Amino acid sequence: MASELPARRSAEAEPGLDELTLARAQRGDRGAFRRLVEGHQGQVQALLFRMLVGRRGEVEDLTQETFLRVHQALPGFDPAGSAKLSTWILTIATRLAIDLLRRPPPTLPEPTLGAPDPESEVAGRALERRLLRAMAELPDDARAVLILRAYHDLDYPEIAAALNLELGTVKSRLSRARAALQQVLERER
Amino acid sequence: MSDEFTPEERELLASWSTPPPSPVVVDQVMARLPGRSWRGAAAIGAAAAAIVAFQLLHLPERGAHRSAERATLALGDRATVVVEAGGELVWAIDLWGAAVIEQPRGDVFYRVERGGPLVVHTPAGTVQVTGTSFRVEVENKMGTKTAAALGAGVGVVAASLVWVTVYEGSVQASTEAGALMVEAGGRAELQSGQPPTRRDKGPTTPSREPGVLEGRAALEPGTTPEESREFLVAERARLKAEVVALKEQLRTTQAPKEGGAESERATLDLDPETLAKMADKCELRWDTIPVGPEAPTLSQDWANEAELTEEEQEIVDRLFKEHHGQLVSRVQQAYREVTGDDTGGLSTYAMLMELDDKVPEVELKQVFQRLSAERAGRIPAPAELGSRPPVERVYRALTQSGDQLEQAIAKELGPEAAKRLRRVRDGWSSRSRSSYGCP
Repeated sequence: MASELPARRSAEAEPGLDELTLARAQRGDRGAFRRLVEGHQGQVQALLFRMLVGRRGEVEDLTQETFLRVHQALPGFDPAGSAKLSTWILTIATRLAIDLLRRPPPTLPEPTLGAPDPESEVAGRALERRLLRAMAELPDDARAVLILRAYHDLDYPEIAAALNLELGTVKSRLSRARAALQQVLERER
Repeated sequence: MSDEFTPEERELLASWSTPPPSPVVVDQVMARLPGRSWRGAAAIGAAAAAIVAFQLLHLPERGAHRSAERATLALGDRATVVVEAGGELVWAIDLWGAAVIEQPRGDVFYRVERGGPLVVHTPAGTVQVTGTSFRVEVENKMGTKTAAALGAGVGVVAASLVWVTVYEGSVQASTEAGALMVEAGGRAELQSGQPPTRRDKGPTTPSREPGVLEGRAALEPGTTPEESREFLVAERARLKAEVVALKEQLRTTQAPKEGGAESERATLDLDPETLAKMADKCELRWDTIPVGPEAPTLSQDWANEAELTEEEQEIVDRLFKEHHGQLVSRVQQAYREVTGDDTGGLSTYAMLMELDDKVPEVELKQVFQRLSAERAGRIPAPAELGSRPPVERVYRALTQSGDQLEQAIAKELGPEAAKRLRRVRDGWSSRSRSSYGCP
């Protein structure tokens, strides 16, 4: 399991492509699109992993689905527009995750295929377990706001655009998520 | 993470770790992409060729080579190549040393010093390096057809096998189906539509015309790994010596021609004789500012070299922005006229690519023939530009852009400052030379 520390945007390398490679991907060049997937897969998978609390078995499928949607919509992406490529891709992933979470979970328990369950791996880590529980109890859009802000450093207008929320709603959702964090911290003290 | 989180909150959030990215997702996504019909594949192949051709056309230094004899060439300052008889190359190098090379056929040895990326496009895939020596061998299995987009010798091959042999460093060999790192001593086979495969031993040398290998050792089928290693070590030493000798040869053979080479590459202040020679070849050279998503700004170094004050630098940045907007607007207008589509989310570069792609090659050649003849004073410029074909208007705008920008700056800072600013870096930062040839 990767140990990942949230980082400020300035410290993160934008996993974007050079302009011509992006243009090639937009024109249907599969090699260029492959490089796009390679460059953004980590961010997308991390986002979905955190969004799909309790439905981890669907992370990989939804990661694939995200990039298929990206492939479909890529010709319409405006590199000169207000959204960075990474923000645009994360927006697609976030919306897919929220759509998925609105649907009832599978009625059958998720099969275990021998692969380690990330959540069971952290069973011994009480703090992380409490954080996961707190995050799972948050409404999906509040969790999404927190994840996009804290781990992917989107600014408020970007989050508002990604989630189709008013700016004020974004701030109130973030306050709610931070209150949940504070509750976890209170129990630690 | 944003500063709005307290240190405690940051620590708590940092504990929420995620697993590493799944290694299979990329392949699974690629496998699930919509399938391509043969017409779709052909269109994409042509588009890819057009994009490479665009890069080759618009990067500042370009060249092409096709010869029945073995030849040694210097590509920019850091790449030396040995093209075997029958090989073909088209290349372009940007101001920072990044190189785009099209190798549609033949056997070429590359020696690349460290620097910007160097990408070799072959009919079956690409080879990307930053500093190494390697060989690319292209075997065309089913003949070739010439790409319609540009007359720069770029070929689209119906089916090809490509072998990449690495002597030093490493390269990334990739096709549309996957990528493979090939280390020193390694060899990979590329075939369109198939992931690259390792071919480190065994019958590694593709079939050739008799005599092509004359004077050069080759691995025999069934060679053991130890023998392969010995062979590669010896081959590496031989090639190093060959490169040193060839570099020396280049220096001595090119020295007397330096003046000529300079005039061959000059962009600014071309004399009538040079313009006439260029018109004979329907050739144009021009400098302009990059037409990327954002208007460029003047670097502090450039401003210092041109002895501009901070206020003058701000004026230049404003004029860059205005000029950038005008160029982008002209490209967008032409794009709408040619394609009938809205510009959508396309970048200016993408629109230029599509324009080049949509317009018949002969029409592009006619545009360059006319513009070069006008510059040489052989024919007058048309009185009514609005009725000219869209692609001509675009290339007219691009090729006149450098002078127009200098004039705009001269109006505000004076002609001396404008001239100094443009010439201190041998022109605006995007310098191009056409390579379509005459109709």
